Amino acid sequence: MADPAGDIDPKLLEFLVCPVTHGPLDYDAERQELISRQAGLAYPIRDGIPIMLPDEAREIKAD
Amino acid sequence: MTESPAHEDEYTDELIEFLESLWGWGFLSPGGPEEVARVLEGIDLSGKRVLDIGCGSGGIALSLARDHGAGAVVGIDVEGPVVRKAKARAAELGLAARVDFQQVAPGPLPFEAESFDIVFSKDSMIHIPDKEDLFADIFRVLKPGGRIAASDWMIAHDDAPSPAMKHYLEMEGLSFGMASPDRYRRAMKSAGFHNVHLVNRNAWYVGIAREELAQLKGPLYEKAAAASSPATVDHNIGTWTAMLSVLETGEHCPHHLHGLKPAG
Repeated sequence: MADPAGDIDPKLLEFLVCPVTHGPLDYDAERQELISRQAGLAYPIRDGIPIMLPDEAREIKAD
Repeated sequence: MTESPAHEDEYTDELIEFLESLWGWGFLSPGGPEEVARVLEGIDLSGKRVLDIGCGSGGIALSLARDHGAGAVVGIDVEGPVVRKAKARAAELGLAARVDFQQVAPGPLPFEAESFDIVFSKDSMIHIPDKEDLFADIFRVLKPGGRIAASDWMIAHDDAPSPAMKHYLEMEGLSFGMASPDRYRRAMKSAGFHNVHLVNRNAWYVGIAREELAQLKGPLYEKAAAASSPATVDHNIGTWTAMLSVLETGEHCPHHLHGLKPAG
């Protein structure tokens, strides 16, 4: 693994949902974010820890 | 969407250091890996996908992978400092590929239905006041045939706490939502669990707590004070004294609990 502290387990992503909408999340490996398109929120992954807190999420524009 | 109030960290670095000096590396509750094994008695974790609710500083989630052969463990907690500690420890032990940690908001578990074979929790559900919602949500994220195995701090009845119990709870100063074994049992059954089974661990913990208090007042004092601070240890000697009195009356009664989500 190139970045042992960074990447998160892809298996985890199959099960993880947005805490606001309970909808799916997309993993943005470059920005280290989990994107909930339905909620318009990007949850940060800091040092490999997904921070699933709406208060900590970045608002993103719906596309 | 309902906004939950922002959660403030209650398990500060100082409290974490104090508790770990008493309970061991990565443990914020008593009994060590042996008590974890007793909670899991009769349950085979090998290759299983496990959720640890209230993972704290990670010792248990890591033990589930290392000592019990769990295939994948996800530890969740509402507090940042403990989760960061847990994550660093997974890397230290070379278990980062099998054990993940996440910081979550209080409220529904952020997982798909039927995500886990086993839901584990040790002495953490006390912090979640709505037991009915909690067990309904645990039931949801379990696969059919999946099990919950947990332990938690309980109060023997659903009436107002006795003055001694109130005093103890004030000493703890943590946001506890204590409930009775009866309420847990009802909440688990109404969530749909079968084979609901609770075991009172009061007698075990009275003995342990007496020993812990003697240690804190004696041989462990210096070490615990160095890890946290003398004021923290002094305060906790008061907390332990208050706790022991309600353990001895049986009003404070840790329990193990088990339940099965029926297959199909």
